[in-house]
Amino acid sequence: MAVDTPTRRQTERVAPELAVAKLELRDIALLAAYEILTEAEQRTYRVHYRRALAAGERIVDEHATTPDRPLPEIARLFFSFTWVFPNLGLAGPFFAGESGPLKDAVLLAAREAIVLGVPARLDFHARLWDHICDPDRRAEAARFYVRHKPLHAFPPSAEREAVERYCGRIDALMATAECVPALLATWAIERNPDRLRDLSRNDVKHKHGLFEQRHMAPFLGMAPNTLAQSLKRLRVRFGEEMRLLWQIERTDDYDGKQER
Amino acid sequence: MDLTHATPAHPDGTETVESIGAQPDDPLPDAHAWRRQADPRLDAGDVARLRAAPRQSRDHVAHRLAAAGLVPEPEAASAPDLDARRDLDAALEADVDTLQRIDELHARRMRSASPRERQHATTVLAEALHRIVDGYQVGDPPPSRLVRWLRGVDDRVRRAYARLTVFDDHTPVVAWWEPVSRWVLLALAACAAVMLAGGHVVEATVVVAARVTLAAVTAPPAPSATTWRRLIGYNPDWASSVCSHSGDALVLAGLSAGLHAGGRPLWAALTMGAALFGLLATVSRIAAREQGLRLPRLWIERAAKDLALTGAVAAAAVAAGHGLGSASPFMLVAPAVVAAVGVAELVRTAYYARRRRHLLSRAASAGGTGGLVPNAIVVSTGDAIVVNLRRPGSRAPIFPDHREAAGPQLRLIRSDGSR
Repeated sequence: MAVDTPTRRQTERVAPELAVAKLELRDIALLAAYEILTEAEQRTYRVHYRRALAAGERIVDEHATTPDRPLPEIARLFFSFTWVFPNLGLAGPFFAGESGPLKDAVLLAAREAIVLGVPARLDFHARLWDHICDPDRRAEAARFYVRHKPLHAFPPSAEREAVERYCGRIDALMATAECVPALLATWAIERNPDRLRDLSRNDVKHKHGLFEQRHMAPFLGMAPNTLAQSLKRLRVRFGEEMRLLWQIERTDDYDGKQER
Repeated sequence: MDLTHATPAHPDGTETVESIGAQPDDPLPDAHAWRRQADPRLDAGDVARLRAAPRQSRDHVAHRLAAAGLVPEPEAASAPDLDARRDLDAALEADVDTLQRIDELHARRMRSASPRERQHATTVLAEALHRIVDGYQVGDPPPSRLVRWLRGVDDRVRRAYARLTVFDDHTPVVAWWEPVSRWVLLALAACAAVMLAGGHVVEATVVVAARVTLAAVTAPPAPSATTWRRLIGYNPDWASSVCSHSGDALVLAGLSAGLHAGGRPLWAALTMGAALFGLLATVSRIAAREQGLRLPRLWIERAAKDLALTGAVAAAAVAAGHGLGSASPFMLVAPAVVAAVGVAELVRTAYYARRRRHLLSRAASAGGTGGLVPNAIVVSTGDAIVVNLRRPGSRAPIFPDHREAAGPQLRLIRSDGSR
């Protein structure tokens, strides 16, 4: 089997969807969303699009390996890698794991950035938050997160009925607690630490769309530190309530045995 | 969140990765799904759908961005005046029941003989405050080690007093004795003052000792705020405080009069000054309640005053017999203790007032930057100092308010999907 030995020049090159990160975010948005502009809008932004196209081709020529698809698709792939998939851990449970709604949200945000001048990341996060706050999607996500393993751990001596009551209580807590969806979302982000590491590289550090806690805070009407502390408190409260619940179960069992 | 000695939810080990909600770091399930999800091509249907979508979602997203303060608010999307809805002062005034429950919780937390009930009351109180104050200020630095140590000592003294009392329940006898006791104790203090002024030191010592003992042994449980008491604005706690502290001041005044009659004008002046200063300091602490500082009487202070007054009068009786002219300087311990307690009262009031001012100024400076100011600040549930803030402007809700239908309703669901 023949093995390609990359030359020094080739090893410096990266995949085209990573190389386009060197473009301005507005140019990437133009490349990705130009197709979904109306004809009138396309006429308005044609000059900008051609300029972005030329810049993109130059970047790909200089820094990327041989591209196997046109530049607009490469730009959309960039958004998929740095905006859609990093948020799948967060918003995936809200869409039953489907990335389609997220991809739509990215393209719409890119479109609004071109047409209205709203920062694409802000628009994307607002759309994400809107989805997350949707009651049906939230119910879907809560159903997923109530199966979170540490929440469904229990003492070895627990009886079956007690376990069922306990699980039901957790379900109710998770679905009705005021911390949903911020708590769920933060959990999801923390459970995907690799995503954060991938996105901290120089080229995409300021261009990724991961909906971090500090981005969530304004939508919750809080300062980021306050949100962090509140989430910490809420988790502790969850834990305390669970412990209290077990104490009550144990006390009930003990009282029942005493009465018998 | 993990429970100690935890085991899996399914002891037979039948749970799958999906069933326990564990996600791998890489969320790509298989190559086929990955290829399908990562495909960046757009067909005609996608383009048509995405061209139509902005018209439907633009207003919604603009409202979200404006509510988050990330872009200037559009003209149409004016946020409701949330602070008009969340006027905590008005809400609390209207909800007298809530206030009474909180006071009752405070009373149970402070006075209950059962440690379990005290602990439970503290938990419930914290929860109640958390629910009342929508913007719970967290991250407030805890009190210093000295303050915590003093609180511990005070709690131990309180328990010692609680062990002395014979009334631990609301019985008819207690209900009769509770309003009578404060006047009886005040009358005993007045008698002791008259006796001290007249030079009958031994009799006065007996009366002072009887007053202190009676106050400790027959201390009734916290008086309830009955309907007619609320109607006429009569606060039994306030009446008890006035009678108790006035009684102490009367004893010192009697001592002062006795010293003056015995030819000790300087000692008399010092004692009288201490009595007036102690009374003034106590009244300032009680009056601070009107400013929102809930500062109950310290049990250390009560114990110190009881011991100092009784000890000083007893020492005078032993040394002087009849008349206070030949009393020893040890007698001046009583006014010294009362003056020291007065200084402590003033320092304590000033400490909490300063702490509250610090929080208010911090909130005010936060309001100048982004308007992210909580509706209220709980300085500490231990001290129960609640500061209400009213902001002129509007701000985004911290969590969706279901009552006003400003946010989506949450639904109760189960893990099996049934609602």
